Amino acid sequence: MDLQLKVLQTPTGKQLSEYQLNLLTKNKIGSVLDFYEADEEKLRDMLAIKVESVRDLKKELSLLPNDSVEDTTPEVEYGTGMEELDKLLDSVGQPFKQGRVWELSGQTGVGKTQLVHTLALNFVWKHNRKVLFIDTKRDFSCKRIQDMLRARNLDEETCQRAMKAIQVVQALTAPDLIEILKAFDQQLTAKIQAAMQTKFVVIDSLAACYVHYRGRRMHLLRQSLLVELACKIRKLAVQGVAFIIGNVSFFGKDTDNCNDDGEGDGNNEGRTTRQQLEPMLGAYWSSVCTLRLSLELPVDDDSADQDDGLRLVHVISNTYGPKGGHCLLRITHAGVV
Amino acid sequence: MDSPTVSSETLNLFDNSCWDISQSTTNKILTGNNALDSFFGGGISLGQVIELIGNSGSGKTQMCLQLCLNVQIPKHAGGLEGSALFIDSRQDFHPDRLLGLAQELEKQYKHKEPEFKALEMLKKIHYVRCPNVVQLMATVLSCHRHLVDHPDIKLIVIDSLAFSLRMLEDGARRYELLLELHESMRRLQRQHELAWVVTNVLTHRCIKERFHVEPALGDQHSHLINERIWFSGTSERYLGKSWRTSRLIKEAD
Repeated sequence: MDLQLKVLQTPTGKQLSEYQLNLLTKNKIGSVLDFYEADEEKLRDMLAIKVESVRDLKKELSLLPNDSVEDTTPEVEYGTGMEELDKLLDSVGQPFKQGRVWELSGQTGVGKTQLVHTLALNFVWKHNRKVLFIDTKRDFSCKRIQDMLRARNLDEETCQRAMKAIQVVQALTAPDLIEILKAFDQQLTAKIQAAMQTKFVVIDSLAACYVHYRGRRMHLLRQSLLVELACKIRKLAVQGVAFIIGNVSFFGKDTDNCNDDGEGDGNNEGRTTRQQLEPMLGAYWSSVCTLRLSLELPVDDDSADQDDGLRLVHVISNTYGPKGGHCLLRITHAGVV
Repeated sequence: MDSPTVSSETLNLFDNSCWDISQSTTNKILTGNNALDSFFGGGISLGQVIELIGNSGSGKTQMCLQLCLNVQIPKHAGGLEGSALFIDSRQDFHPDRLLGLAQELEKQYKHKEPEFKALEMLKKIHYVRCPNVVQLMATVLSCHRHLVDHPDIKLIVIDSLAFSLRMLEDGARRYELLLELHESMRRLQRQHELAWVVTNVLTHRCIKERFHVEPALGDQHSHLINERIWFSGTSERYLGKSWRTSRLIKEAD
């Protein structure tokens, strides 16, 4: 019955006769799921309609509002608290909400850490939820959070609440990091309140704890640790935890550039053309995050100029929609806006 | 090599909020530069790797020495009461210069801490000379033994990190050693609360047929350090990983 009602709600389904609908029930196709899993050819022969119609019907069924399950867990859009960035994210079809796994890459010193500090603060400021800040190289700074709060002219109580909601944990090695996520998962299962309230995890920066696995012999270990980490992240993301993961990127193809200490001896002449910034951690990792953002300095003619705080955010890959969009952000005392 | 310190069942993720950190006691080393100190919220945090960069003669070694003394400020006066290890690769360490700075610090704290004497301060700065990169590696790798003998070491200075590494002709080997150094510096920080201060020099790099002045030792190194302090000829100090994004640290900030 359930399937018949649903089929009748779709434009293609309306053209089916009652006889055809009964045929479905007779062939033990009683639910939407059965219909999906049924072979296209079989359905075509059974209902005597075109294959295209079967496909249309399946597509339309999937687009029907699903009223039974989703209502209990409403999809909350968190927003990043940065107007320009939210606009960009909307335009690429990925607003910031629960279960997102994003990567933020950029050259060193471009302001990634400042941006993730801002994201964490904006999140706890707007929502009555908590953030877990996983710090891999002791870059978390209370002072930065306090400075941002001060620049926003908030009252004492709000500041205190916001600061209490940002939880910091150190993970100086990759196994530590995995261990932390495992513990988080276990505490979620045990329904510990602090874990249930934490809906957003920041990892800054992932590259720092994987950089020590280098060389051919360590390669496999590094790969296996990455895979394990990705599994843990996915598992938590399914439960509604959002992730933003910091990564570094370098110019040029080879991230482990041996001649990095270039002294202008002609070795770097190949760099005359502008090369793409390439994030670290290789091809496997590039498929883990559903959205990869790159924070860059805007290109202008006079690079000798002192920094004006302007930064460009590029979408370098996007699993759910178009890529290539960008927007401008400005780093200020109150965080990134 | 390192096993996780705690098992996942007992690991408490949610008892250390930003607020708790801000309420906990200070663990910072005064730099002696007021603008920097107020920017950092009281100096260099333990647990970080800080790089000092600038041309020769711009005051890097001076600040290294000053930090070695400031780490010893008694706890009553808000200091750490620790000691320091000075790893010297350039033979640039002058005890006389250090004594001068120590006497100034003694004068500064005379009314608060009469027991805080310049000669005592010098005794608490341990000195290792590393004329080549092999000895530098050996020293850094054996730092944990120094820490067993002197558990109050809170600061280790390498002056200069770039000097001996850049004497190596082979770029691949240099890079390998640099990462090895980083790894052992971080490993030591997992076991002990201490800060590393390293110095670096500027170099030229040719991009788009123009020469740019850049920090030596490469981008990967820039990522692995926590903060970079730029020394200019004047007393101004800039902060930031690359020169383009660095900002002037003013008293008013």
